[in-house]
Amino acid sequence: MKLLEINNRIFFRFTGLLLLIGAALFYWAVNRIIRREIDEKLLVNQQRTVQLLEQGRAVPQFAPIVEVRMMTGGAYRPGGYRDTLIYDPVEKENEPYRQLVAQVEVSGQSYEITNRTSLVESEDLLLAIGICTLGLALLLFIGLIWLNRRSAQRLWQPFHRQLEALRQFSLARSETLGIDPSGIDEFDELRDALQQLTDKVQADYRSLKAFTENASHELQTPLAIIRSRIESLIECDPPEEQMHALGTIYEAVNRLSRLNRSLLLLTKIENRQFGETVQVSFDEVIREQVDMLAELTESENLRIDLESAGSLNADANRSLVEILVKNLLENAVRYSRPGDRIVVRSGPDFLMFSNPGTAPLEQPDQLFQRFHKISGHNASLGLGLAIVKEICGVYGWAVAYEFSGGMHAFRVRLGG
Amino acid sequence: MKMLIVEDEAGIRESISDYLRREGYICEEAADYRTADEKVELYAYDLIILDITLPDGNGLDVLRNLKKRRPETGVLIVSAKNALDDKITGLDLGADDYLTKPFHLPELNARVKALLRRRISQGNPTIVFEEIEVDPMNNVIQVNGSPVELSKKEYDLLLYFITNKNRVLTKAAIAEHLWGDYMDLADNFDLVYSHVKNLRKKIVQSGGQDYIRTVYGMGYKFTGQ
Repeated sequence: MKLLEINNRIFFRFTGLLLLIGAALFYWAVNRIIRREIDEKLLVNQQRTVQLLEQGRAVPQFAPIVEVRMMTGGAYRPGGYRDTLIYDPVEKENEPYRQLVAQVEVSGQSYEITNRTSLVESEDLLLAIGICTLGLALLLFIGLIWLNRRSAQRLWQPFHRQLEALRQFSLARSETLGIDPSGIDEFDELRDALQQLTDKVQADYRSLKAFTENASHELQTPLAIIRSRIESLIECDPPEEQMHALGTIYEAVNRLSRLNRSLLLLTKIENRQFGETVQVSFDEVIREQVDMLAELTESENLRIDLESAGSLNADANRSLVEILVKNLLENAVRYSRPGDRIVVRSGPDFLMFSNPGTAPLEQPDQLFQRFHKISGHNASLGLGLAIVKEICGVYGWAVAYEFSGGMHAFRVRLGG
Repeated sequence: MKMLIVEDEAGIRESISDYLRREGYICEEAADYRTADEKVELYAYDLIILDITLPDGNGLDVLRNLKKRRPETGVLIVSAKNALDDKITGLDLGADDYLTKPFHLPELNARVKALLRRRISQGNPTIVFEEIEVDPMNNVIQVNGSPVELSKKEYDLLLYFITNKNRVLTKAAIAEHLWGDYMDLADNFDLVYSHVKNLRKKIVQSGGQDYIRTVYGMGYKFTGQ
């Protein structure tokens, strides 16, 4: 639920309650005032009637507004103010009245004076007041909702801008978050905190990258020394046992060198240190790489079929494309068995390498992670597909694994 | 044959000179830009093995000075930087070849020999080892005077063996020489073994001797003894 909605809900519940209580109080107050006015008027009318009696003048009888009765026994009406219902022959229904009854003695004669006034008008008045109040409340409600919505939109704008900036934020790109100050304290505070956070994360990321790069660079020379020293050493015709030990060391150093070289390549791609972009024909690169592999695949009795559904060209760095194709091709060859048929399919916006398999690979989402190895294949470094993914990342291509029709397939999608 | 090895890492520099000295070359060493520049100024060399990244300067400047002074000197650039730019600049400035670190010593040796062959023995560049004769200009092999049909890789392998005769060639060095970036895969399929086997067979079938000796756990050695 949106914050604005929650806020509105609380606001409406509270205002609704307030308005209800307010309306009740208002009704009560207005009612009281009207009653008091009526009672006062009745009292005045009564006094006028008494005056008329005292002056010995005829009192106009006008039922049910004024009734004067000489008291000669019989039932008396109780004295004081009372609400009563009286049948109106014109309207043919009972109408509410307020009445004031008094027993007075004028010139030795007892009278019962009843003054009444209709309450219909005052009820109408109350109704009118009630309707007006309700209308006013409704108007207030609608107005407040509108105002709230309008101002919220404006007030939350900096927040939405920050959110968008965060979404666009990428560690790999070295630009800062870059949000303009909004002039609203809370959002500016948030902005400062975000800016600090992203700056720090970026700095950490940069130093980590620099570390990897430096470490790989620094490792290169000692590795080269170890290797060249072993190569000199084996020239001295050591005894077989030592030769065997040297062989083991040599193999390990070679593996380390390859690993180091792959890591260097990865950092280089990450740092976008492959500037030169040219129009690369993938078909050409594929043919070249397949040719390079020809002898190798022949000896394993592998067949590589090229299927082209339209030429594939892209603006990219040629060596990166070569590495991409080489790694995917190598991957397909590595996991093939003698006699298998590898298919390289390409179209105007895709590239696919497939090789036969029995079942889909487990954990396909981890295939592109660094040092991910498929059990039973320890010879690979586990960096080839990570490099493929990194290269795709540079150019906004997407690479994915799929298994269909008994084939493992790696598909690279270029463009949208 | 006199060479200058310009390399700041003592371990690598010594390995290179050791290796090349045993090939019968006279090797001098320079550990930094200043020494290298001085030596280039004072003495004439047939070949300079030049590291580009030096602690006190750029190896490419040594190359510039050298080419002004003695353009006939062969230059093999060696660099840890796998940067294409350096390679192109280096070759533009007159370097003959470019080798990326880390490299195998037999690979360096093969490059050095190929370079010297191109520069010096322009008339008759045939390489002879006992009864085997290699004509690198035309990629032709003759055993006892009659041509032998070899595949491209087998030819490369034989040439690599002969250039590094009496040396142990590790499987990794051979794989890298023959398959370059696909060496891992070649290693995986034990291609070095099958190629060596085929080459042996073809030489012997043509009446040649089997000079390839297996070095247990390491690789092979091409030797007349």
